[in-house]
Amino acid sequence: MTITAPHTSTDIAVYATGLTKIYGEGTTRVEALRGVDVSFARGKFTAIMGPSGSGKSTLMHCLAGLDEANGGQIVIGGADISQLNDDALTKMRREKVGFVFQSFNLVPTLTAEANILLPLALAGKKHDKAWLETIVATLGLKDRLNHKPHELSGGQQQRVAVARALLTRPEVVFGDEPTGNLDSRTGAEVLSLLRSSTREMGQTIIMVTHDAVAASYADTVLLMKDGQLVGQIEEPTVESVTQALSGLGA
Amino acid sequence: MIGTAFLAATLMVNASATETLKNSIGSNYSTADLVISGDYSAAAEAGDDEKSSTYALGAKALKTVEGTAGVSASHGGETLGVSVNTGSKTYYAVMQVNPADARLNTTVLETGALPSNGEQVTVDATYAKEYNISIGDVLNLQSTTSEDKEISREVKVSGITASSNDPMTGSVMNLSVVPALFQTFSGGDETSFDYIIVAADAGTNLQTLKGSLATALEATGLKHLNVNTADEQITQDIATFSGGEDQLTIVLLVFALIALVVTGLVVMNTFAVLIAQRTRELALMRTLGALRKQIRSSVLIEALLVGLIASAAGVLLATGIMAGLIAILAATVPEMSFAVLAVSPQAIIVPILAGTLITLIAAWVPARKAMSVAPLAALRPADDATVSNKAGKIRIVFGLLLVLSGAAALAYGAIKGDILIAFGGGMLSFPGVLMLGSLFLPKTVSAIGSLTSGGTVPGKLASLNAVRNPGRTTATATALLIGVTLVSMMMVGAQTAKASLNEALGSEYLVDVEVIDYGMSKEYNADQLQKVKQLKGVESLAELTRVGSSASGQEVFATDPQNLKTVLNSTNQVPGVGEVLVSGGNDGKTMSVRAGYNEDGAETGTKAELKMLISESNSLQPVVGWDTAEQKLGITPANVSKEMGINAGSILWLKVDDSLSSADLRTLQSDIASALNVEEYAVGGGVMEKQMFNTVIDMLLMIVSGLLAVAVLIALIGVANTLSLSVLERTRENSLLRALGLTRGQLKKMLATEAVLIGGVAALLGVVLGSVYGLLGAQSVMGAFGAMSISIPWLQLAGVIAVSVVAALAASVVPARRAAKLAPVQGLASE
Repeated sequence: MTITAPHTSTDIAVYATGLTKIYGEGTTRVEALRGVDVSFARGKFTAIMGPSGSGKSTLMHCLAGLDEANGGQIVIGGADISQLNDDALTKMRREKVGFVFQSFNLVPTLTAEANILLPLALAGKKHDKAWLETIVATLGLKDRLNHKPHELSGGQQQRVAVARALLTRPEVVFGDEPTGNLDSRTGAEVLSLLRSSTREMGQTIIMVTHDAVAASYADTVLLMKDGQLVGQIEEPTVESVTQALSGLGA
Repeated sequence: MIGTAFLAATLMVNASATETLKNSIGSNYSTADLVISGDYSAAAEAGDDEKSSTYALGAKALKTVEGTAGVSASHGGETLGVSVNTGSKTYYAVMQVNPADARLNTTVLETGALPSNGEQVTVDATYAKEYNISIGDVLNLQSTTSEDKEISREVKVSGITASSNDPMTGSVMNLSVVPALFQTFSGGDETSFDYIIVAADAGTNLQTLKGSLATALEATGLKHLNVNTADEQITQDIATFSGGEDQLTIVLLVFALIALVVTGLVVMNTFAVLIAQRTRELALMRTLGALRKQIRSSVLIEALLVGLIASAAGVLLATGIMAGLIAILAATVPEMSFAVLAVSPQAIIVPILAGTLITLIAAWVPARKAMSVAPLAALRPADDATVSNKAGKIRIVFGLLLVLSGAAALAYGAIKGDILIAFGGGMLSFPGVLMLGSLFLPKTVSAIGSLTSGGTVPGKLASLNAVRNPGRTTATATALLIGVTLVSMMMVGAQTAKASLNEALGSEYLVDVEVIDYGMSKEYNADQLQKVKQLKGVESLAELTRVGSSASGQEVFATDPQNLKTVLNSTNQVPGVGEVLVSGGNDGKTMSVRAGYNEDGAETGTKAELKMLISESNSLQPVVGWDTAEQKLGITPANVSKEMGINAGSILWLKVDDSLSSADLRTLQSDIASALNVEEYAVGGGVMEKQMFNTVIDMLLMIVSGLLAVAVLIALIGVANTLSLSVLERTRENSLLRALGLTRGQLKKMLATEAVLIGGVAALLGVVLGSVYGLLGAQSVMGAFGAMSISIPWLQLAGVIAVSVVAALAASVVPARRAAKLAPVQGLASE
């Protein structure tokens, strides 16, 4: 079921058609994605929601090139990534994708600054100093740059991860339950940051969550169940999301 | 299992080495229960002279032995030198009587029959082949008795026997004859046996028999006797060989002890890793309601089973490996054909027990640790933030204390030449070094890492990763450190020991080949000497000319000092001006030498007091340089024949190539004899015996190398173990890096760099540490030999480092491939 038809590529940051993903074989066979067609508008904050096992994480992993889909096409920033080999896919991730994970977000041996610069360093590229300063200032990390991850609070760690994701000006930032390990106050802080980065920097963000409060920060909420998209909420509120979810039997 | 295999191999190496030595040195009494021998040195010390016969085993002694209850058979071993004429040539041979009782007989007949009467003789295989003697040949045996009576007998060769591996008798032709013929040649002299071997009645307590034999013999007036079991006798013989003390046994024992300690350390290490992996599993069981007791017993029962099975497998493995090694050794090195595999019951039971025990202990400690963790805490995701592994103060103090006290003991042992103290010192200091390892190992790794990272991100990450868990880095590095330290210690120690032993042997066997005409009537012309010099294997030659005699009646010879220097095997035994090189039996500091040769003893020539250089060699004519002869005795090469009368008499000393085999040496011997036109038995010297000793030393070194190969193997497994655990634990982090744009190649490179960093640093430190230990150890073992020749096998040490680095690289391949293969999302999902 097509929620948003893929139209011109300039408005669309990421889209996928006929995406399927199957785990296991025989009796253990699970269809995690059953022919998903989806597109994400540029400069928008989209949340993907659904009960456990609905395939929302799988969808995100496939879209981000972290996992290989069994069928279908994925286009990020106008480039088809479904046929790329591992090295090319890795390079694509460096350049076009940013990540904010639930936990284990930072490399523990590196300082906050080195962590922020890591994707560019891996690619062997120079960073834009002014842009780095802007991001660091926006995220309030100026005093923390030389700290190691274990010297930072959970919220600070997640802000470093956000900074790292934004630094490369990626086509899209993927968030996998970015507030899952944070208390509600710092979680709200991080979500506000993500929303403002969409509003102020025009950053496309796709976030997977099962928290209705987190989803309410997004511009659009996509609902998934049993490997398929089953609904969409524009301008979500906590109430509308909760209601929609209970309708899915979650 | 590997640890147990190592232990078993060690014990088997020990048993096999003993067995092999027994087969070689103690071949004459390897089948005997007890060996009785006269203790000449004790008798000499007590001031008993030869005549009083307080140590010589005569016919009476043999009879006493035979009459002692519990003795079922006995045999007096004696040898007699005879010259053997094959019709065309004359050789020197040693004659002996085979024990009548089959239980005591060690002579193995290859073909033909043992001599049955006085006209028959058997010849050993090596010399039969060498001298072209076959069954049916008639030999003419000649000897001169102490009463100057010439005895000559024609005998027929009745059989060929296997050659002896005894360095003492293996260097000459061995003849076996019947007692009657032997007595003919000994010419009615009072029988004096070298030893009496005894076979005891079945079921006799050997210790009791030893006592009763000693008492019975003492009653006959014999005071200075050794009654030993065959093993004791061999140990004693080996001790005599290796310089008065029981060096070889101690060396072997130390190797075994070191091996045991290393096995313990490695097994502990491996189990710590294994249990660390299972901490959560154990904690889960606790959460589900298992009592501490239940967990403990389940872990211990498992450990017991694993230990038993692994130990048994290890023993089997070790047996197989040892058998293979010895078979290869025996097959490829002809001189090693006497190497024997010995599997003593100890070699089976001790490793199994020890292996199981170590397994139990190793499982116990981490299991206790796991149990002391609150069940819930253990179930939380492992905190993988950088571990601030600050070595506890107590640990540092304790480690330092160990290192310092160990180093002190080591130094003391090295200076005093006491290996046991040195070993204890090493034992103390090494754990100390390991305890302090967490202080300096990670620092060294990161220092070297930052030097070599080259600024690339994977390189930088690798050097950071290498030190992010200092505890683990230390553990990984320690496994390798132990192995490498041990390897380089043995290498340096063995090399140094060998160099020192060579020096010692050199002073015992000062001259390789000596040509001496007992009639003192020969003079060699320049042509003949030139011919000898050009023979293959002859390196240098010195011509000794008689210039005078000492007050005690020894004839003194002179030779060119330069030639003498090149001929002698020990550089510190070359006599300078005013010095005379003499054999070991001389007392005092100076020797009174009179020039000239006086048959009637009239004192005419110039007399001089020369400072003695007393060598270890037993049969050596006093030798001076021509410079001394001219300055002190007034005799020069020009006037010697005039001063000395008609015949000056010459001896030749030769140095030969060290690499010559026994067969080459025998060929050389006959070539020299024919070049000089002397009988073959006139060509003698220490080279044959030296060769035999070198063979024994080489064999020991080879056995040790076998041990080391196992140690290296264990260290490698340790590295691979720890590295793959590291990689497993960092699955998520590696996946994160992959998600952020680290390519597979970069990931592999990163892990390889990390492995090489840890491996390289451990190897480097190990080599340094091992060299120090090796040198000090060798110094303490060889202390008794006096001066030590330091010798470091640089190339081998470089090889060790290279091998360790390559091995670390290899150890990283499998984990790196596994890490790289994982799709980033799988790694991120894995808990």
